[in-house]
Amino acid sequence: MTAEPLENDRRRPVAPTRVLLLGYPNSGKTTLFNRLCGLRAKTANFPGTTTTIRVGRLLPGRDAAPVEPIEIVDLPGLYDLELALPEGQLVRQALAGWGGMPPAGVVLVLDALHLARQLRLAAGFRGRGVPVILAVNMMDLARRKGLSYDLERLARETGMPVVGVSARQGEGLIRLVEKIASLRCGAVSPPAAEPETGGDPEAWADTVALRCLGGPAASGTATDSFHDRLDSAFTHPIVGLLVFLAVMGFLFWTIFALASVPMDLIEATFAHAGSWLALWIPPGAVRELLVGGLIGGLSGTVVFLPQIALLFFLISLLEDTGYLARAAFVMDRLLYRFGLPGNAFVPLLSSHACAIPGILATRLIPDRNDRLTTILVAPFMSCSARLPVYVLLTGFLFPHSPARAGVAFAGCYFLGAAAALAAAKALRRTLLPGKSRPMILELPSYKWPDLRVAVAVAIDESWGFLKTVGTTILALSFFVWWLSAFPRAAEPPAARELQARAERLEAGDPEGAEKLRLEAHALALRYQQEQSFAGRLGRLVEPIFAPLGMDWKLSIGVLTSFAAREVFVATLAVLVGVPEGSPAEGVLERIHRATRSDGSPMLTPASTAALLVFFVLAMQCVSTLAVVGRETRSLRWPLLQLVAMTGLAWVAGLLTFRLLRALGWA
Amino acid sequence: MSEPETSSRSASQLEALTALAEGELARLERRAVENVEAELLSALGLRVGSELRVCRAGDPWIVEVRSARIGLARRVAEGLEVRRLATLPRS
Repeated sequence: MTAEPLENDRRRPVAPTRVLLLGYPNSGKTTLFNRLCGLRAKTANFPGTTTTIRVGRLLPGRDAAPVEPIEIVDLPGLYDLELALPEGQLVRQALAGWGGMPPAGVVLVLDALHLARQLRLAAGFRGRGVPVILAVNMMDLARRKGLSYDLERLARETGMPVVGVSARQGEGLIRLVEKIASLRCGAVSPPAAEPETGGDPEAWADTVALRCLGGPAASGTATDSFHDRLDSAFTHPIVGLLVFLAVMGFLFWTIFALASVPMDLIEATFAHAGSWLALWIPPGAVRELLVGGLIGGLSGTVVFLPQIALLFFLISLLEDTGYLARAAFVMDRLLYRFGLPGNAFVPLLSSHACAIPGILATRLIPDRNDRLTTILVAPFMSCSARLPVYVLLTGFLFPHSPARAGVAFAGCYFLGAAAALAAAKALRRTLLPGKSRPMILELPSYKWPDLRVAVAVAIDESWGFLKTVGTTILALSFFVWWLSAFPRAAEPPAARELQARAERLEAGDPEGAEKLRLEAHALALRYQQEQSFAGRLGRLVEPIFAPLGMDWKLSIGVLTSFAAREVFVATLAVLVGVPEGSPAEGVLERIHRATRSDGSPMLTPASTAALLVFFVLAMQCVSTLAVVGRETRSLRWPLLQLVAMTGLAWVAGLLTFRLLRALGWA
Repeated sequence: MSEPETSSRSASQLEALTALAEGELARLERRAVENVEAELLSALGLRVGSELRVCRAGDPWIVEVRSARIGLARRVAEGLEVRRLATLPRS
């Protein structure tokens, strides 16, 4: 293959030639894009997964100088150029040219197994004045099925150059690259305006495909019967649901089981980085900013990366097998009752990693009200950022029964999903009236998943997550640090007294002295927190959260977690006065045993359960709100989301607290 | 809802797609669905006059048209009227 990423070329930069990559969903378009450009992009198997245009660059020749680079644009799969769906609009805009640069040509990717049907799309390019190259993909699979085509005749019949390729195997790519390169010098003419068979593109496609067919058509075979049985099982109301639950159970088990090791490694790496910085930078505001703000903020975000990468890797594998489209129909039966479309399934599933990629994945839901409803309820799904809070609080609720803690943990996920469905139903009856659009979906053939594509998808999504969320969370972490660090408070007399006692003990009992120093540090930290802007704010909002059994420290924890939920545990750790260098178990134990000003426990079972319910339901993520604002192009929807979800969380938390207290669980 | 789209043939023997059993072949004769759904069905190859095979009967209905499998929610399948052609035995 002669393709080279532009980044490797150091010659004089010149304006690129733009070539569009188009085709039906599942035609192997994105796999071909990855082959041509060496860049990462995902395969569009299902509406809701390829939500952005991917752009890559290809240099067809290394020896000719200076070579004009070729820009390849991977567009979402579509069935018809004129279809009034988001992907159709996107493709029409791309054909018209954007940034003052019309495309030099189009590479239309056709699935060799479904050539007659997909050729119909080629008819739509007649008379548009754009040169088109037909890339007949999956030639290897076609040969295995006994299908063969006369590609030279296909070129004559269509008036478009044809190259047979297999994107997965890398077959025919050199010829395709040469053909793409010839677009620059105008060697490919746009197809003529009128097809031979008149105006019906379907009849034209049928005629052309039939004339070029060189082997037996594979239809009505035993394979179809096998596929029928698989389809019947996977979409069956009971069997399909059981398969779905098993697949999803395995998916989440894999995510939690496999992600724990890299998550621990990431945490340990950041902890070491913090210790290293603390060694080199003298005590003061700069050290606190770098260790508490920068390292603390980064670790809080990056720690969830393994779960996100694994989720998207597994979703991509599932998508590639063809199963996900069948699962969408299983979910459609449930989602429809609550006013959600079946294609909300993938966005809602993605929201279990993070609501942001889930919300971005709603872009290809065609109906406005369907999409808005999905966006508004997606944050109810329990995202990775809630995990540390769930783990902490369910552990506190059932410290001696891991099984009960596990049930409570699963209950949080169930509560979130149930709240999402109920909220969708309420929205469709009030602000976004109407029924969701019924599911119509092409079911792709079953096939073995492509690991390379899945890895590329995981990398792509992870990078997008880091770019979108990392920057926002980092900025907010700095802000939270500033709130808790300023105004600076003088060391309290009790802490000074402990320090003095530690110095006196130093010679005789160094261990006792160290213990006193840690206590003094914890005391000073707590005093600093109480006197800081965050402490004052906590006392200010304490009356709002007091009915849920929360004191000022928990109130600050809730308040700071509006920036990012994972900040809650770190905030509490600071507020209860965890000294530097304490082991992790010590941190959790201290939070669990922390007391209020009057000496009563900070966390009772009732207040812990209320806090847990609050965290399941509340809208505590500024980054998600920002993305909702951007996607809906309005302030109204994120504000509604913030007020309604947080209000619901407060009421549910209050009811939980009161109920458990009445049952003697206080 | 859009105007029902019909073929020029007589509608006397028309049946809803939902009345067909698995393996039956039929020709699509009439579509009484919303415009958005009608456009998508056309793009997928389910046009008036198209021949189809029922791969699965029951929500969702799965039909094969021009070697493509298309899943249809009950609400769409109920709006499609067809004329039976034959039944293919399962292998």
